[in-house]
Amino acid sequence: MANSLRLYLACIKNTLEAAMCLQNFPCQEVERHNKPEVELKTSPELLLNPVLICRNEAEKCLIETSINSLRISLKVKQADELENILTKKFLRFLSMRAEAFQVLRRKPVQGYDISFLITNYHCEEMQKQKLIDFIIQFMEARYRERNKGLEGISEHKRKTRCYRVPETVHVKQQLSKDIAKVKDDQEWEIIETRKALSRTGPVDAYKPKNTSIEEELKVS
Amino acid sequence: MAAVDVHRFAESITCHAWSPDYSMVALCPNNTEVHIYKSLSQDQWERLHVLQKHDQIVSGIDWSSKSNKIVTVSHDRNSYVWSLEGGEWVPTLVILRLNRAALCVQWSPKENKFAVGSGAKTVCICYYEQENNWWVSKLIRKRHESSVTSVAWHPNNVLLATTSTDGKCRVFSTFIKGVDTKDSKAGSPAEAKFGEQILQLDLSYSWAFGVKWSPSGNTLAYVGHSSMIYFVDDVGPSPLAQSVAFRDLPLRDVLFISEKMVIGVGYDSNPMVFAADDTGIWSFIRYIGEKKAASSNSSYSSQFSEAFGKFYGSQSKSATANDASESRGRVHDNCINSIVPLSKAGGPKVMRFSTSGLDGKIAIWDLENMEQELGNQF
Repeated sequence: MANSLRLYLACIKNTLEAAMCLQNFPCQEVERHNKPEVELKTSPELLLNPVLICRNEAEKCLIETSINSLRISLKVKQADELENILTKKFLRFLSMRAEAFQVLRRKPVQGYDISFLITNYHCEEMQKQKLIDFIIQFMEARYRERNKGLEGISEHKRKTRCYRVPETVHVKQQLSKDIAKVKDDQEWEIIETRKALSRTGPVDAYKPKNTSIEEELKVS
Repeated sequence: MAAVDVHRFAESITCHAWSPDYSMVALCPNNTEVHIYKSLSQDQWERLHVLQKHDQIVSGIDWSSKSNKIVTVSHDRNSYVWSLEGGEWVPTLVILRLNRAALCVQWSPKENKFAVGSGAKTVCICYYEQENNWWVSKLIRKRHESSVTSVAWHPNNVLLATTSTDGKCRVFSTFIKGVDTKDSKAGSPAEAKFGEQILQLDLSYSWAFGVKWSPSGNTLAYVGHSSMIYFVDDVGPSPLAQSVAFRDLPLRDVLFISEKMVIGVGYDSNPMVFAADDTGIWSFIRYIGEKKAASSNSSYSSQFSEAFGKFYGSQSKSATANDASESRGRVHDNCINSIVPLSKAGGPKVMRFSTSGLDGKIAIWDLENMEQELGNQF
């Protein structure tokens, strides 16, 4: 599983490297404007063929390129309701801070969970390699985060399961306490008897052997 | 290493041009201004002038070698011709009649005209009108299906090659009555009237950039965004075209070093050498910068830093170490977007040239000490 994830990320990385060849390009349709062509899509000749990379049906990555901008849209795996909620919360957390991330698009492209928009201005300010690494690391972090989230929740579940039936726990505890008490009592009794024995001892407990000097000499 | 001088002028440079004696450079630091720097000594540059007239990013600069005039074009749809009068650069307005951004500019070899490619899918051929003291333009309309990304003048001062984002390369006649004299149209294709399309090359599947003529004007080279470079011989009714594909990132601009050798620059941030063999077949020869050493270096350091990263559990650390080592071997560390010769136009060979890129550096390259490595391909 981890291996296929690495392949998936490597494929995205290589595609991004080839796709991130952007340049400053003013709008052909509107006077004195300079807008990301991948968003406006006014001139079809300025768009390249989009690339779709799929790991499986639920996880895919769409890379759309134009002459001055690039859009990466990710769909992440949501196996069950729980993962759905986790992903939503995580992505909402990020998109609320879209400004801090610069390349994050505030609203994902339809059908995807999260989108990045990289323009030629980002390529001028930042190093291309770092930008690509950021996207890849972001994806890795998301997988880590998801696993962590799932782990945390399952741990929480495990804990809460104990509290779901407090009566039984109480009974159990009571029981174990009782058992302990019984055990203690019994032990106490045993010790007591031993002590009593040592103090008094049975009548014929000590029987010295009758040996003569001759026998002792023979042995030695 | 063939780079003699590298200097970082700004965060990013969109374009640059050299003065006739190559002591000064005019560059646009990715904004509305044009800065003129003078070389004092090795790696010592002094800013002499700042030309402020445009109100959007300057996309093209060309400095005429005979008349010492600078022409600038900008995304604000305007163009100015600057001439030096008493130590100050004075702008003259050019009536471009454009309603979209101007993208590229080049003086004609005789410097009585210049061509401006624009986002309005037109090319403006501008010439000086004595009576009005301004530059007027004649437009080549309805020929391009998309923005004109690059223009190049044929040495005969009449033919103009253009590339466009519709993927085509076209050659036009720009004969203007009263500006061009009859004797200038020596070649047969130059007899056409203004704006007539001599040739349309539909070789590229993607956008085309960076068109150039060879010094004699026999060969035309341009690049496509699909990592291809195209060479066209015998420009006329029956052209001979060659397409050369290479495995790296696409190019942005090319320069003819001689009739048989071309330098290409682009997104790979390392100039590439292409050369034609005796039979006229063009092929990729090598990189000029030392890429080999850098790549082996980086693979070692990435292995090391990966292990290092495992120790500390930090992935960002390994990434940054990797980057630093990768860029160390190269002169530029971002896309190179222009390449300019550093010798008189019309000479048979260009031994020095300069490149500028989005990393804000201008690098001067000298092929003198490269000659042995490049061998007999010259």
